Amino acid sequence: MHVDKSLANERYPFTFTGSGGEYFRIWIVNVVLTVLTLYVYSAWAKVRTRRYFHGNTVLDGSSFDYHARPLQILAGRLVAVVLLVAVTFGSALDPLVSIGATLMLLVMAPWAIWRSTIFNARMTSYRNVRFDFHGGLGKMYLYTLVLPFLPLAAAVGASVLTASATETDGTVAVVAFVLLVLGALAFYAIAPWVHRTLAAYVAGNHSYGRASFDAMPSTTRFYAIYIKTILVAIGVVLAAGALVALAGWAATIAVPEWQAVVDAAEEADVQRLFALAGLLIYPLFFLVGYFVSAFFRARIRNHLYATTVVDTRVRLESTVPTWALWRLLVGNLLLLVFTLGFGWPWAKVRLAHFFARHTAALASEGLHAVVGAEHDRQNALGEELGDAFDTGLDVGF
Amino acid sequence: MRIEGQWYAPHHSERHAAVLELEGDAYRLSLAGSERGVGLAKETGLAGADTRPDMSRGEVASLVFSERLGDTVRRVRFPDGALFETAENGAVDAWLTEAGHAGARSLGVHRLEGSWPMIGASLVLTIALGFGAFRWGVPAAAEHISDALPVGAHESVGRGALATMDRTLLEESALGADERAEIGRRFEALVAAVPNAEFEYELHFRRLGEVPNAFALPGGDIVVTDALVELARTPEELDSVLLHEVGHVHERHGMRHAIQASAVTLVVSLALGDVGGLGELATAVPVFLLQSGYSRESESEADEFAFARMIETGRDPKHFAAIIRRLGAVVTANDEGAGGEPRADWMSTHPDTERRARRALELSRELGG
Repeated sequence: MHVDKSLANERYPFTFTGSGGEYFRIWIVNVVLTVLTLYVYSAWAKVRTRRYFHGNTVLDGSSFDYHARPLQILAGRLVAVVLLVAVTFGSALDPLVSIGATLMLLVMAPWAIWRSTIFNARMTSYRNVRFDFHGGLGKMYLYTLVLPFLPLAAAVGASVLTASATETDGTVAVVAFVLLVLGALAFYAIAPWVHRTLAAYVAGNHSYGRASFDAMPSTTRFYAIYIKTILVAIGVVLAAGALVALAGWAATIAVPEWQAVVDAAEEADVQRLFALAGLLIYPLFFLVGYFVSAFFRARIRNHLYATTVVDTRVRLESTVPTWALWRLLVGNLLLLVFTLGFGWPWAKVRLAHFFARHTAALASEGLHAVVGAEHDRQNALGEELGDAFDTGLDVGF
Repeated sequence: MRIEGQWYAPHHSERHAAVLELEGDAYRLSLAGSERGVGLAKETGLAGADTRPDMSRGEVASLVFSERLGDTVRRVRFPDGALFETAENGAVDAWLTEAGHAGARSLGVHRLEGSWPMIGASLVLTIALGFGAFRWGVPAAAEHISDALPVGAHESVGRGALATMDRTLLEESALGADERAEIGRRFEALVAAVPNAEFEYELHFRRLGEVPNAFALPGGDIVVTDALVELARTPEELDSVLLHEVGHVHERHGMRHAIQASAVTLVVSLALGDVGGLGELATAVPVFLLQSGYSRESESEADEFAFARMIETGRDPKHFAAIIRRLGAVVTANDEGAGGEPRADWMSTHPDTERRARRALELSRELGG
């Protein structure tokens, strides 16, 4: 979509004003009260957490607000916990229950995501005006369940049909196999397009008061990002491999008599040495994986924000750099590992700071020109199912 | 009390400087000279606007104050949907407390969050409760559930597991029919001596490459591999291992582990939630460590069960020491062959082999002396 850049001559950066120490104190009190009340307090804890992060996200001198009431959340959360416990224990007892539960979750997931998207939008406000989400449930099913699995399902169906239609012989098996492979290829071939369509649906169906969001991410860009990510992944893996090889070569230069040492050493010692080398190489997998993931997330987010407009008057901007995101993710991992998980509040605040710093709104006539209508009393069930089962939709927005 | 901040008309995102004055039971809101704000106030019928359109009055009881949360902006909601925002948290708290307003009730949590002794106590309590729950709570609950489940439930789980392993891992035994019949007869005699037996024990012979192993499934199915039968130098040695497995069934360990595994995964994932892409790693490590701790205890329990039965039926526990040492040597050799370090005790599911062997010999000596 063509975005008229002349309309957006004033830049309003986002900032995050919370601090790790402050959030740590809120978090640890949340944890203790949740445990002491046998999980009941978790609903209050969640509202406090959300309010803390919304309340510290500042745009043009005003912060966001979160309005959900703990009792709304508690009701949904209890249903979610009962379901989760039933599924977990049921699956441990009987594999059939596990298959049934997985199918049920698969069918319910789009509904849960849809409900939680609506709930989260309506419970969020900025300057006394609430957000909303208008996307249809049918489209959510289409984009998250039908489209992604359509090529695969078609291939499986076709191959089953082929196999049952004629007598068993070699050519039928080959045809069925080819169909399955084609289905899998089609699955990957349409993935960027499905991702783009889903992201456009989620971002574009939001509204702020009476001002609606409009998202027109480009399909070509999405394909380009996916292909670049694959190339980057190959590149980093090769680079990491080269690094390891180089280190090995340097070691042989530093200790020229290594061959003699190895020959003289006990078999078990050599194996221990290899195990040690493996231990040193292991962190490389995380570094490489995080880099590819940072590259992908940064590009998708930046593109999605750049192609989203609010009420044709306000544009969004995301300038997340891959390297900085990678450093942040690695830093957070180290923080969690070395604090045995108690550094989690700092990790979360660091992420919020980072993303706020790289986000801005661009508007010509001030951000206050949009006005809205209110919604109240929402059913929290969908939102909580989304939370407990971790089906929260991340399209990169 | 005079508080400065911003005012928003109902459903309007336009911000206007305003002052909220709180005196006794009454509040007074005034817009500090913003013409546009005064216009909006007229349009939306500012609550209680009287002689001056830039001002509204009302009772403080009708105001809803947002809870204090760190140093985030404080929000005061008016009955008509208008909003007042202020950064003066300290002033608001002081007034709420002094006036005994309903909004003061939520200050307790904020005081907890602000007190370092309470934070320290929370930290200690969290660690202690977490440790206690996993160390005693989960095993106790799993044992209760496992004991409460009917024998049929154990059997169906065990059958299912055996069928799955037969498809994926295990091969048919290559042992001769005579040898199997002989071991089977001894096994019948062993299980006949088990007190309060609730399960029907059945011995299955399988091949798992060259790996010597025996394991018990919930419900009474016990599997022994060819390599283990070959590793045993005397029938008593094999008996001692089979009794250990019978112990697992008798104490319902299989089901307990299944329940513990589910509970640990459930609790850890609920507690940590989404750790921003680190979820897998963050949950897998504690789950693995806790699991191995639980199975170590079960192994000791099954050992004691086996020793008691052996002593009752006149078998010497030293046979267990002999085969467990040989088994340990094979396992260590296999591990090192795969390039692994000898594992530390806290990482292994079986307690230190030597410790188990010594316990058997200790009992053996007591028996002899």
